[in-house]
Amino acid sequence: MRLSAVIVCICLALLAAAFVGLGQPGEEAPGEPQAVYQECQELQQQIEELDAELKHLAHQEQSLAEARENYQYVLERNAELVAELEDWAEAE
Amino acid sequence: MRASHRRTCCLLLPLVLLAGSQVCCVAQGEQDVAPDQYPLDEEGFVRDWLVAGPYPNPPGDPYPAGYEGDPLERLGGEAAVEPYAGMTDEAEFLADKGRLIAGIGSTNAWGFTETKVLPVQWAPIHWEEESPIISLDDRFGEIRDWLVAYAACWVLSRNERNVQMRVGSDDGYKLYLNHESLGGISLSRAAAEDQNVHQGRLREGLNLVLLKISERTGGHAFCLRITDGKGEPYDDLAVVLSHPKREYALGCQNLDEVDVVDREGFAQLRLGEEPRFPGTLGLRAMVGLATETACSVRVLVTDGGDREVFSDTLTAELSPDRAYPIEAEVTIDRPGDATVAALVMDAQGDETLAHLERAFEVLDPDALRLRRDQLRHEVAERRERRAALEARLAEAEQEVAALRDRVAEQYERIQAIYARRREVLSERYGEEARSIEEPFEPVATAREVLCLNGDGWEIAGARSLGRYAIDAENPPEEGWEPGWVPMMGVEKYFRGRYFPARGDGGPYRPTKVLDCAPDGWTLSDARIGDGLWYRTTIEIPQRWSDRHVFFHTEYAQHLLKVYLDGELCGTHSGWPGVIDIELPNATPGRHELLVLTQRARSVGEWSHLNQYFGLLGDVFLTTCSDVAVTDTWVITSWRDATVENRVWLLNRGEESRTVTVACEAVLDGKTRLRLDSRQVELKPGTRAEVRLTRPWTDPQLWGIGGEYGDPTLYQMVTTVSEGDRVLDQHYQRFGFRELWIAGFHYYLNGKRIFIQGDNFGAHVTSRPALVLLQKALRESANVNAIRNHFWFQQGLCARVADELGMLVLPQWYPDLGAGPNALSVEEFLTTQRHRDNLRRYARWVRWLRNHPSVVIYCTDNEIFTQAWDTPEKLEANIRNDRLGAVYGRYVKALDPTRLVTRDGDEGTWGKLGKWQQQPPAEIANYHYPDFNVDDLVENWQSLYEKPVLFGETLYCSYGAWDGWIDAIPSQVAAKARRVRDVVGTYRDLEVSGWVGMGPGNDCFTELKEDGSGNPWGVSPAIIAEYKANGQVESLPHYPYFPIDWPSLSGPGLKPEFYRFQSVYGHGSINPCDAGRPVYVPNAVNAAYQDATWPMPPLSRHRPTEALVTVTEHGEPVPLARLVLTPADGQASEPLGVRADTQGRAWVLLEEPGRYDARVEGKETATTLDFGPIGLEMQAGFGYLPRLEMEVGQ
Repeated sequence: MRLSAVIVCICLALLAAAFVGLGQPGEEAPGEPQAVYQECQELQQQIEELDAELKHLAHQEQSLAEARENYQYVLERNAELVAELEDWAEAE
Repeated sequence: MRASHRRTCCLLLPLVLLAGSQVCCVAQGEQDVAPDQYPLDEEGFVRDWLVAGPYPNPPGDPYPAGYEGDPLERLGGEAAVEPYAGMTDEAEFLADKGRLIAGIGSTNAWGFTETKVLPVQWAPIHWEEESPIISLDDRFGEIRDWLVAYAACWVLSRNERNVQMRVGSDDGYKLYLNHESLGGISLSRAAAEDQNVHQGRLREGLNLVLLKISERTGGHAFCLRITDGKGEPYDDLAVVLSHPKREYALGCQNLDEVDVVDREGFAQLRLGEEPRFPGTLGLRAMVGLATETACSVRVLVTDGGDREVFSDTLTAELSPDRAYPIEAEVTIDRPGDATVAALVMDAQGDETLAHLERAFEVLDPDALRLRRDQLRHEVAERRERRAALEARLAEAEQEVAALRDRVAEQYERIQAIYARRREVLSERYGEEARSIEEPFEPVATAREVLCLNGDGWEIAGARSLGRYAIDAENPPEEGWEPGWVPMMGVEKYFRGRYFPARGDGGPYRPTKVLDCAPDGWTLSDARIGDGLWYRTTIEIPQRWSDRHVFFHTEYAQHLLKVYLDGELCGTHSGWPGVIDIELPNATPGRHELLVLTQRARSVGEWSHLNQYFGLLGDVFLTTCSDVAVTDTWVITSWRDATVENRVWLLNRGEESRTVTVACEAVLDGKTRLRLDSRQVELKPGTRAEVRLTRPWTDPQLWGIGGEYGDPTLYQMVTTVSEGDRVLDQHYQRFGFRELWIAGFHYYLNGKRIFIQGDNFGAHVTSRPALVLLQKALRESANVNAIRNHFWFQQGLCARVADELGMLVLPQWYPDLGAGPNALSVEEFLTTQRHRDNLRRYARWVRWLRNHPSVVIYCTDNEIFTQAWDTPEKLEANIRNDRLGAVYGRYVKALDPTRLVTRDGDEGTWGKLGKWQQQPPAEIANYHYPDFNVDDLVENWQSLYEKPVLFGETLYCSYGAWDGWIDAIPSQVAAKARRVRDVVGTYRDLEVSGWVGMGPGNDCFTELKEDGSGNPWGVSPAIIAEYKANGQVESLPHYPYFPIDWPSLSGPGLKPEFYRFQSVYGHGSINPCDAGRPVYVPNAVNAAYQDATWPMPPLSRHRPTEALVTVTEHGEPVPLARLVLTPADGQASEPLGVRADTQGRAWVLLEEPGRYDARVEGKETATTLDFGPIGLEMQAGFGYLPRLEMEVGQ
């Protein structure tokens, strides 16, 4: 193997090791706790936003359920009306 | 006095407060108190509080909003607030527009008509009354009901202990101890001792007690006492009203905030900054003492494992005005709650003066990472839920859309069935029920009309006999002045509404003509009294010698007396509808016709409106033979394909007559349908009613245009014959149409129709203005219905609507005899007032029932409505509702062919159910549901179970209830957004009907800087100039615009002025000035156009009119009596019009075409051609054809 190839291999190995090392838990870079704290804050904020969104969507779901119930009621009442009118339309 | 004893109680706990912290005593029932600590009374009641209020607590569902919510949000919230005397806040009392209903003058829960922001300040009270129940009545000024107040104090305890906190409240309350809620209750009650008992734990030192007292109506009070578990009071508790932290901070120069206090010591203790992690943290302790003392101070920091990580002891001179600083770097390796403590001892180290301690959370990085992972998981889990929910929503939306499609198909089906019904009937009835086309020729009979409108009259005020009383028997001999009819008399107070005049120095003082009035114009005192006389000379022609002659008008307010040559011919009282008074002595020749009109109050009768009175309707002389038709009612049924004519006959002669009654429908000079004839025997002085019905399967329909049909108007001709001799021929205009309800919707002529109404389309006083306003409302806001909200010209409004193709919803009030001494329903139904109501409703129905535009009668207004929704009014409201229902049913019985609604009376109910009208009506009429769309509009079909008519909605935005904000561009834009939102919702939800409060007000006006927002060029600068100078240079008569009527003769009230109003759109349109546009649309027009169902245009034609000038030898013939007789088969009796003093006769005809014209007493006759007139949006009288008739040739 030529020297240049060896150097390249060593460099690649070092790079790989560096990447692997970065991915290991438990060894935090300086300032990492603050970043985690910050992420927690952001996640908490996201949760609050998602909760609000879920609440809104749940309300929409409830509204749609009520609308469905309403239109089913309208359908039933209208069906009765249609039946009455059909008899009436042809009546003497 | 019991309270005085409590001052002798011994306080064992030392708590030193700074000098000057004592507070004044200002509240009721208290006396001066010097100490800063206040003992509880001998029963354990707290009598010393900081109190704050008022905060709004409007009715809510299920609880009042102030109880339910947190009014202290701006101060950190109920659970965090630390009050002190003088702490300030603001409370906003929103004007609840849902309760601001037209016609009743206000109101929200506090009687405000607009939003108010009131200041709030925490203030001490020291209650010395014997009763421990502390009254808050009258403490908060004008706010007496629907409020919350707060009471707070710090309870000083020498040790930790479990206690009972016993509360009494009027009405509800919530209780907090040391920022934790102990509970509460929302209800209406009077306060008593120990109504509710809460278990609490006092810690050593100060304990913040916060009580929220929620008030609905009536009294407002509270009490609280603190006892042991057996209900026995303590003798060692006291309260303070100012927290020492605040006092220390105020007195210390280098501290803006004190974190902890203990006995005499105080400190601000800080350790690093958030977030704290293990490592090195900056410690800063600032320590002070209430009394300047040399001390030993030991500062100690412990970590989360209670290990001491820092300790330092020093000697310092502590003082109250400058805290001693201690700073250090502290290394903490362990996460958890670290504690910073400052132990202050005397210099000898013998006595602990203060132990000041504060905890700080030091975060664990590993735990934080776990927390982060947990949060990531929670976020992911929520996102999954959101995705699932969104999917379900999409599915549900599709499902609802599919249901809506099926419902839409049902409506198509219903319309198809109606169409099929017409086919079935057409086949069944065959040719016999189809239209014919035969020439019609009116027969000359004794029936004739002569319009006496114009300036051939004189007026005089009735002689006053004191407050409201007049001499109603004797017309004045002097003081007559030129006048005209119709002429409006007005209440003094309202002079300025119609005329450039005011009371000089007060609304009831003598008239002062304003500077802006035209030169020489005056307002006669005769028109502002309680009685107004009118007189004219009439000439009875010879051909009337064997006829009955009547004084005829359709509107006179209130009492009417008619004299001929000084002889009283008849009296009419109560103003709606047609009035016919026979003039028995009207023999050929000259006579003096004298009329007195009196305001209702001058005869002690009820009238909803006293502000205008007089001969407000057209004045005619009419004639007929002995046997004549007195009235007819044409009833058309689209569903049954029938037309019915009900005919009332009277034999005024002295012989029995057997007559044949025959009826035919006539259009454009052709008979289109003959009804069967009927023979009737009429004995002298008797009446008879004949009903003739005929199937008719292909009439031209009357409608609002488009698929509903154009507003085609037939004439129903009733011919009364005896043998071959025609005794009478009567003409009644009608339209063939039917509006009904089926399921949840209205149908007009077999097509579903959404009622899109306006409440102000009737509120102009002249016919030309009414025509243009209705056209403007249709073309620029898609309005298809006008609710005539008790405006007086109901007949005129309906006639114009008949001609143009607009629906009309007239509204009438009953006299309910309401008030504190109201009779029960059963008792009231035996009174004359009830009988008068019946009479008025009967006349009202008779007045309007032949108008095809009139489709729904509104028989009262807002008996049940949000504004009256208070428990105190419950009994009266129910009584009034039950009585209102009597009249609703009565009107329905009078005219079952039309719908009846009781405006705004669906109830005051919400989800919980409250009060509803009984028995249920055929239409759910609810006012202002737009303030609660979720509960009152969404799913309206299942909510109301019938068609709705939101009889008032979207209250107008620039006037009374918006503080006369005027149509400033920002408000117009806001209104446009609101209209798009609300009306768009009505359309999306296919709400069956609504009447805005509405387009007629919010459209057509905008107060732009350059004056381009209205036809008159009125700008804020012009308004300011008028306010400053009483006159505007560029608009000399502003805000009154004189109307240059081409003649005062002919039908219609002709007001002298048009009054501009920039806050109401209908007050901004221009009916009279040909040099200006009729209206300038604003953004609200566009909003209504975009958000409503599109509507077809109105009729393309105006009613047929012309101005005929009668001359003789080239000179006008004053008061010439022009008589027009149909020459093209028009179904009409000869129509007479008395010209004005300039010889101009203003003719209004029901049908165009040629008429033979002659002038009474002159030989000349000619034929005049009155062609149809296009309906253009053009102000002024340029549309009016001018004809001339020379009688001297």
